[in-house]
Amino acid sequence: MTGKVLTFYLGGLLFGLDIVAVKEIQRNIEYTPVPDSPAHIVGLFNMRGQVVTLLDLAYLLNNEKEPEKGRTVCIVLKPKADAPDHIGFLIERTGSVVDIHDDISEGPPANMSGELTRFVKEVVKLNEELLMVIDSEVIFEQ
Amino acid sequence: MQNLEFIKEFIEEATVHVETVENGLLLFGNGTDEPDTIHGIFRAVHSIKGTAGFFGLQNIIKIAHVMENLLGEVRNGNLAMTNDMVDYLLAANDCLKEMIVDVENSDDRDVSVHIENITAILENRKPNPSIEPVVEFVITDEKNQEVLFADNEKTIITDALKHGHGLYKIRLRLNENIKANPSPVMFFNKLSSIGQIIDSYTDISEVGGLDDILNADINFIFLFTTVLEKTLISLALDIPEEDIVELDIDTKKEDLAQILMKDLDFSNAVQKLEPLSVQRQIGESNTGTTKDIIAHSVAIEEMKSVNSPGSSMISSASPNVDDAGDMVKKAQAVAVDDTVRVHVSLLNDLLNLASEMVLGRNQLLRCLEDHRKEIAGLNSVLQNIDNITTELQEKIMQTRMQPVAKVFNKFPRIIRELSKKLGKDIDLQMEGTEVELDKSIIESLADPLTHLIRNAADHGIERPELRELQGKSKTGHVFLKAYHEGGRVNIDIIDDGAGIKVEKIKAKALERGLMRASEAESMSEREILNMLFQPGFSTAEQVTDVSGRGVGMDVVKTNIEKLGGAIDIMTRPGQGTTFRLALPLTLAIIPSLIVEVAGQKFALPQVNLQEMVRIKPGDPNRKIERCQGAQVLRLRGRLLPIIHLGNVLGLRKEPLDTTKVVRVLVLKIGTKQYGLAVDAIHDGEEILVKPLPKHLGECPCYSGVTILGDGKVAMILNPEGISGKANLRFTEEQPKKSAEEEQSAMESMAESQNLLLFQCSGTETFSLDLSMVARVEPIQASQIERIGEKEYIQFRGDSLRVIRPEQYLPVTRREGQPDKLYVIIPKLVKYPMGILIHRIDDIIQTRVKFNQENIKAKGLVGSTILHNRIVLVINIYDLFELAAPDQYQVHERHSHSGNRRTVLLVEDTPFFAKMERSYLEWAGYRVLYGSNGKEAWEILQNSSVDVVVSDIQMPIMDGYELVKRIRADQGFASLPVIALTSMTDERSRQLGREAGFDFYEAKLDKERILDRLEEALRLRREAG
Repeated sequence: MTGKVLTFYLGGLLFGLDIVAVKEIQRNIEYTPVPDSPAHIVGLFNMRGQVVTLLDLAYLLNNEKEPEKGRTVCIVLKPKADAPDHIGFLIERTGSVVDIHDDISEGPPANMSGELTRFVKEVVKLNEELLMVIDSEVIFEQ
Repeated sequence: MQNLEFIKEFIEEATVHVETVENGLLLFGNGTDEPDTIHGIFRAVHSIKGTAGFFGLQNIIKIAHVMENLLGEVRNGNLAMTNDMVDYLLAANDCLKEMIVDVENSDDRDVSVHIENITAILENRKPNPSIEPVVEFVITDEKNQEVLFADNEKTIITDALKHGHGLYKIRLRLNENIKANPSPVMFFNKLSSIGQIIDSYTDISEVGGLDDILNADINFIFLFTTVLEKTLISLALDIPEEDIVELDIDTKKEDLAQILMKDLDFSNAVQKLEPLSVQRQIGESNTGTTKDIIAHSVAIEEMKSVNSPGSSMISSASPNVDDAGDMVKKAQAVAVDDTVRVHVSLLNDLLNLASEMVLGRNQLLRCLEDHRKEIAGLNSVLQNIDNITTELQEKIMQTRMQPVAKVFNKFPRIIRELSKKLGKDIDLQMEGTEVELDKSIIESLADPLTHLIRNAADHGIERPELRELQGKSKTGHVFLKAYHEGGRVNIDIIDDGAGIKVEKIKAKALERGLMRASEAESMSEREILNMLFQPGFSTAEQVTDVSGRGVGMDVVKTNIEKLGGAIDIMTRPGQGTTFRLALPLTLAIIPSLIVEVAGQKFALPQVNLQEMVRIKPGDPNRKIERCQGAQVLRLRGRLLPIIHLGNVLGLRKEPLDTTKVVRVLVLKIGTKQYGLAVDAIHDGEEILVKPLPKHLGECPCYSGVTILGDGKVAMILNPEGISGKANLRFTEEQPKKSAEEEQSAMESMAESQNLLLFQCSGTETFSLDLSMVARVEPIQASQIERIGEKEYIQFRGDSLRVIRPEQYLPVTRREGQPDKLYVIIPKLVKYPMGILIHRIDDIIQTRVKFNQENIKAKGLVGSTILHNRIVLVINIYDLFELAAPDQYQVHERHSHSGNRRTVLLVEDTPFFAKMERSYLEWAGYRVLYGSNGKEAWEILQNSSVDVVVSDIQMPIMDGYELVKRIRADQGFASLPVIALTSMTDERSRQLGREAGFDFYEAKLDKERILDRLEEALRLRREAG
């Protein structure tokens, strides 16, 4: 793709999301865990009267439940017409906004793990590191 | 595209009209019509026709036209409404309804059937001499051509002529002329208020279809009668004078005179056309039918009472143009409806905002709580905001409330059709149609209710011949009732039909594989009835096209539960069935209780909350007892299963710690009751229910989410889902609501027993009263050690003898034993022994009714039937006496100690009564028996009694009350009274002694009871 991507770190890796899909970044959130809910649900929090469902993206990506790290930064996605609920996910820290274009990106490499390839739309070859761009549609499907 | 808006408005308006027509026609069907009914229907059809004319909706006009003709005949008394006519009109109205919903395609429909049917009626009718002479007249237009009219139209004209109205032909250009008016519908209403439309047609020669109409300017031509002059019409309607053509009416003078005479004699004709008569009162300023005739008359009344200048102006219909124009406008202004149409989405937004405001207020109050005193004046401001917010929220909630009549109104029609189709006579009665519910609930109720009504008519009500055979009235009754109960609205659907046969449901459920035969045995009637709600279940012997297609009841239940409601079935074979829907008033904001588990807050809807119980450790009256892992609380004589919210949600593993204070919320869903233990209980809070986010998937324990006053998100608990998640199985039938008869009240008050059902090596099922069980311990077969003939286990560092009941009782025995067994440790015994059993079946709460004495043996109290099985009730003392004669043999000295003296035994539980009686009789006492304090007191008045032995907890009059009465009476001063109870703690003893009991003993300790009896009698002798 060509356009701006918001980058963030999760599990030490650099990920990115099409900036069009992002509603906002929330810091210092206090979320409420939901006992007896699916494993990929972290909890719910109140964003100006809207209830946002927090997903565990790290868990979705590698199927491992990480110990609670007390993270309080999250990215909230723009709700879509067919998925009006607000969803978001916790991240380690935000990166920056980078411009990408088709010349420097390609599809996920063949040896990438199966779970990851479901989410990673393409890999962008930045100068210093690789950026994995996540497909927000797939997150909504969870 | 303004016209699209017009069409929408037409649809809204016409929808209301077709409903009026339907309801009115149904009144005719029932014979409950009133003189006004026909007018109402007629006006509604007329309005549809008129407005449809603006849009050139040919089919709608055609149908409305024939309907109007027929209705006009009825209205004028030329034709009596028959059932056939009602049917045809209903069918035509349905067609109209469908076309209105789908206006754009309405002209593609084939409506000829309806038109032919109705026309046929009109043609076939016998010429009915008109009550009043119709004036012979010829009307010609400007080109001197004769204009032809239908009979009913002639009547209108005749009538109009009597009042000196003129007849006009008015040409309207839709886009041009109506510009000054908000919409065609409004324009039509305006027209109706000043005169009467006789006929209308749209010149659509240049118009292809609806799309064209929306854009093109079309000519709408109508014939109109009014008292107003040409110039006034032009002014009132805001249309150019040249578009109004006055038609010449050529009447024979003598005819007119005759009619006018008649009119003076007795206003027969006027009465018949009521609208006219009403409007004549205001000086005939306007005539004709208007759809809000009531508003008019009210307005007129008001004008009269205040005697405003306007009324005098109207009554003196002035020829002055300006005045008359004013007059029309005034009449219009007063008549304006005092309601406003608002889109539901706007109301929803308002409601959401109000709810957010409530939350905002809560946060504000919390923030400023500490500063209330510091800032002068803050307190009153906060209180004011608090009150206003609450009121605002309530008012906005009210805007969404609608009467259940909205759903109920369609049922007379459905029942009418069903009774025809099914060949049954069914009468539908409705009550409480004014009860209001939230709009969203009303809307979602239509389908489930329709289904239940159909079921009642199809499955419930029997065929007329069958009903007669059973001595019932031929007509079946379906009763639909809405009423408030405890902050909820109940809707009962009651039929007096055949009732539901539990056996049949059972058989069907087995056949469909919905349950296993082994399950079926142990299921209570209620559980079996609930099988009806299983997906894929249908009991109709024949599948009809009315119902019985095997879909539905499960959907009904799901839909009702989605609304936060519950559904319940009560049935009596041969007498009928009642389905009860319990619904919340509103969905959006609910009162809730905030509870805490593992540091997390949850909101519990208060509708399900019955009470809160705080259990202190060591409190003898309220304690949580264990029953093989299950924790139960004795609450007013019933066993309440206790589960901890933390355990259900997986927030904690350890079981409930009864050494600390336990807080239990008693929850009730329908007839099911259970206790939910939580760590802490906070305040009540009004919460705004938000739906569960979709990403959470299926979380049965929650019904939604909310934002609390502190801004944090909290889950809303779903008591129904929690009980399901915790695998609570509700087997026993709860006692019915009292108030029916004293008998049933007494039954429900009677102390019911909690029985432990178990099996030994044989096939028999045994039971023991739970009050005699200290605990049940699982053990391994290898832990049993043999010493001589006896078996022992190690229990709490001591050796405990265990016995196998089958060795001492006349029951089947099988060799071999499973690896895992259970030991029942009894209480209230002198020498503890464990009872070794193979399997625990169940714990049930019931009132035991003993069977006839055919199963009798030492060691057994008797037998009873539970879950369709014979259950042997063990007499633990007899059993122990058999197993350990040296410890338990009651000394022979007791055998004739009774000496034919009279004991009054007072005990409500038949089981204990039977056992105690057997002891006393064995010892040679004469036993009189009363099942409660009141009965005992009556016996005391009539018989001579030597000693009273009484239970404490009894219905109607308990033991304390009884002994107080005895002690208060001089005649019984020296009568010994012994309490026999299972409450043997020190506090209860203390209470008992204070109340006046001489002795206070544990139930069932045979030897001790007999000792005490002798002692009491000896003391009495000495005293005497």
